[in-house]
Amino acid sequence: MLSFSLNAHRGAFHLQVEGAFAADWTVVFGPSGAGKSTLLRLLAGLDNPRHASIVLDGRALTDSAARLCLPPGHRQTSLVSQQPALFPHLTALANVAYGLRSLDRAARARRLDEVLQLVGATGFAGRRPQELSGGQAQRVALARALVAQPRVLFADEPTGSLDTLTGEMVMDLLVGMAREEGTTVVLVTHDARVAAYAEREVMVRDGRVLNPASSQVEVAQ
Amino acid sequence: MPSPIAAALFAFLALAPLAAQTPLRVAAAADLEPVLPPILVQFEKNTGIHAEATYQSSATLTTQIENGAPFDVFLSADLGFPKRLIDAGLADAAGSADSTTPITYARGTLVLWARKDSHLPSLSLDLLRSPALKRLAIANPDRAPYGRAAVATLQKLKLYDALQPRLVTAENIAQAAQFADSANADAGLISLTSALTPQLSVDGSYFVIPRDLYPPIEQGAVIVSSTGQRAAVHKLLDFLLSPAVQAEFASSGLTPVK
Amino acid sequence: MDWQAFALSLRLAAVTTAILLAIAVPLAALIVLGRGRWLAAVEALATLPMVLPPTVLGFFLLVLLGPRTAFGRGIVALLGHPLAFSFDGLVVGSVIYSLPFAVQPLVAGFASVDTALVDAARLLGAGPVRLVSTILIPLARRSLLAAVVMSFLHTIGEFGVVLMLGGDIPGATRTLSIVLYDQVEGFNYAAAGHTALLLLGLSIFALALIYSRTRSHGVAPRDA
Repeated sequence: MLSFSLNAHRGAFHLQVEGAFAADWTVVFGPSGAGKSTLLRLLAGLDNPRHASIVLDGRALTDSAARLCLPPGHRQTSLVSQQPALFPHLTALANVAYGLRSLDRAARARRLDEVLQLVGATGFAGRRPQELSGGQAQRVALARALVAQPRVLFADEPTGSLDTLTGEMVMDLLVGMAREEGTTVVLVTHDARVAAYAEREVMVRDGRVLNPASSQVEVAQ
Repeated sequence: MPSPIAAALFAFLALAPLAAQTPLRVAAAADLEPVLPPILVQFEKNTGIHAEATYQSSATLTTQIENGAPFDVFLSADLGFPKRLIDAGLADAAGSADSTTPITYARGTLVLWARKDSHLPSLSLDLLRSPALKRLAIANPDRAPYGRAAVATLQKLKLYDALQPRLVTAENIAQAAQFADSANADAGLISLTSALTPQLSVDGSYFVIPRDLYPPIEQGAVIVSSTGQRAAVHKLLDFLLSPAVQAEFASSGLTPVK
Repeated sequence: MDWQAFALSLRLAAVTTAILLAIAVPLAALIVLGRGRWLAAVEALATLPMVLPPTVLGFFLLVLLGPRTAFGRGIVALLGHPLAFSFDGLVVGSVIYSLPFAVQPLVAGFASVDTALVDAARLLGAGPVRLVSTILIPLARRSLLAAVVMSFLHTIGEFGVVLMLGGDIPGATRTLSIVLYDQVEGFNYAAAGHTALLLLGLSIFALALIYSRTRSHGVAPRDA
């Protein structure tokens, strides 16, 4: 259970929401510019909100009253975006391995192997990002986001820059991996077909969550 | 869009240099900087000739004149640099007794200067033998006349070899004074003109080095041969040698020659 | 040819560049990654030495490091002599004087790294040190190189600060540029020509070597 209460400014944009994501699959759906991406960045810890409380399974990730804001890498959450944002100077394998530091060498190799197989990237693990197709790159990005077994994976338009067929393939992969790894997925999209993957749907518009009843997400004020 | 004001401004900027008389351009050795400005003001009052001075080391000014700098007259801190220009056919002393010898307009005085709060033994030649003197600032002896005089003094006192490791060499005499005034050097062999400036006379005290210890620091003037204002230059040189100005030199640290 | 001055200039430039990198990399990372208005002041301060005429900067350092300030007296107590007129003093002066030439390319280079990559590294648990060493530096390596080259050459060619702070002591503070200046001022144009030619040749050689190496490797990502 990820529960949050946010009041944040980002540029001219003002986001004020309160809610909880309990389901394994929640889709945050709404037009572009509604504040969906901002919401995910705040939840993932990439931006520091002014007033916020974010709690994951009883553990506080952000508590502005206590001046607490765990860095993004210490929240057991992860994020994939529209652009895979792979490190261009590292191979696909090294990209995935970047997030795996705590394990010993053997366990590391095992886990890397496992994740690469899961996304079907074993065949091009030695290539650099600029030698990968869009779909391949996004699969590596997915493996990289999931390699450290986060509790929650935030996905911000993960198929946004892919063609329909590749997009569907990546979505199926995401669904399969999340199930396999037991990861909760919070997915942001403005694409109705992607939203159809949801078990629960949250509508966001103009920085407000619109359908609190169906989502356990409530608007403050 | 050319407004009348802009046009007037343009006309002013374009014509102003023509309207005013071309000033006399004076290349002056750095040690004259504390001395010369009021003298030039007085000169303009007396003669109506406006003179503008550029202060640099004598060596720099010589190089500039050799390369066509538009100066009318050169007031050096020594005789060597102006003589060099005369030999190269770039300058002369026309109108004086010998047109190939620079006109000596003043003599420099070397002093040993230290800050009042320096905790050194009292200022005298003995200070140069004191182990408390860890750093002594001098000007570059290769080109600064006062640096040459400083080295000559130390050699005459047979102290040069012993003191050499403790010498710090400044680019010019003003910088040597800064080394000592900032207390990075314990004392400095500097010009009396520097020692008499308001800043240094407040901060420190000086001891005049006896004149028999170094060859005279004769400051020579030459006319830059390419000048178009020979008459004005002669007026300035006559003014510098006039009793009033020579007296003014004396009060600011130069020794009169007349 | 004054080989002692030549060696001294190289040593000064090498020591200065090493210290500058140790200062400029964290500083540039802080300016690019940090938040807060005060960072603008930090960047402005790090650029300021470019504004001052070098001899004036040297004069300020001469006074600041001299025995008349508490800071300078601390140094005298520590070292037994003022920093002025010593090699250490030149290093201090050179580091301050060349700071903008190390910081500016690094700030530009770090800032040109896609923020999505910085976010990705942070999401994967990279702290500031790992972020800088594994992402920013490899992706901005041409900027790092530029910072090294600029710092080195700027220090080799440094004149005003050394003139003011050095005191022209052979083997300690008489650098090649001072020798060169002395030769010009002493009308020793032939020797000055030789020294200048050596300085130019050395610089061209170093620059060509460095730039050709980065070119032939070709792995430096174009989009970074």
